[in-house]
Amino acid sequence: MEIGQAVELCLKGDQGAWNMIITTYSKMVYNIALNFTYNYDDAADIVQDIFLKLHQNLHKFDNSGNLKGWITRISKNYCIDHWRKNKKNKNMVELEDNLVVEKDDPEQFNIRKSEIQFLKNKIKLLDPELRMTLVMRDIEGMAYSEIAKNLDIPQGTVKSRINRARLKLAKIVMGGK
Amino acid sequence: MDCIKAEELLSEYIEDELSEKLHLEIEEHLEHCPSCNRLCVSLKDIINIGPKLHEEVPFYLKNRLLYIPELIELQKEEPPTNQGLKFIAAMIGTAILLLNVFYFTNIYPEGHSFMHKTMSKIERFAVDTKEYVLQKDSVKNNLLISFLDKNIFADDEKDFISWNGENGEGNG
Repeated sequence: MEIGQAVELCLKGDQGAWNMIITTYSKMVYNIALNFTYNYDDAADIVQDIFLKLHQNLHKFDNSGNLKGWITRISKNYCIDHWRKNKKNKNMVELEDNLVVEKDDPEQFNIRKSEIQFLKNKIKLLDPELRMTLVMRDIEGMAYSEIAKNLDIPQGTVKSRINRARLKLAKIVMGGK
Repeated sequence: MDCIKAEELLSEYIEDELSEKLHLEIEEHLEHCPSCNRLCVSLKDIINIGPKLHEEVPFYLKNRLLYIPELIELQKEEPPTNQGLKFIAAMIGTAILLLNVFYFTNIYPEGHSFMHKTMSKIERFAVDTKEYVLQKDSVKNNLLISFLDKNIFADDEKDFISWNGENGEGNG
């Protein structure tokens, strides 16, 4: 089933179509929210709000448009708003280790695991715009063109933001080692 | 190529998105610059680790998301409630509770004495009103009795006299 068709069916009240939309986009929205809030409960609330808003405004969606872009923009605005309201970051917690890493070499696995954990908790030091593009590219694996389209910015800007984010993160990691 | 320019292009170099000429220039720079080389290794690490930072959506959240359509339907069915009235009722309730606290405790002595004075005034008013009403009632009853005496019972008396007179004449 294509997304356009899923949207149409969803508007008619088809639960299966809604399940498909949730399955396709919830991971992306959750990861964006988590990397902005650094709080599992807040991230869950934001994701729920975003999908509630999506469902209420689904009739406004033009089927020729880009649903992923629409959801990404809503997520970005929500997360940046949340970030601005909670600049003091009182609710931030160390993100837990829910990672699945190959366990071939136990020693290597532990080093890798601690590196991942370290990096995960350093992303919060990046500016929101840089963080958003980094999450979309390196965590969500989106193409530069897709990010540019979804965030409505030129591809050159996306490339430079991602490079800046990675450099900043690399310098933090190098300084922390 | 200098370090600043090399840093700008490092990500694209690692992702193999540069032209052959620029790619070779950076490669040459990295061979001679240990700090840029270290940065490049660190960047490669970040790029490799990135996908592993991906987290799965928790089960409870997925359930919450799946029930959104039902939630919206339920909200539509709920009758609109008058928030203003609820607010006023809550305020009145709170005020009564506070007045009770002042009346029954001595936490705020001025409030306590004011409440008792007010209550005694209300009681006095109630007693006076009752007395007034009873007094009025007795006046009203007296008036009623005298009215009935004058009109109804007086007519009955006349009838009785006239009837008695006729019959008395007849008997006599």
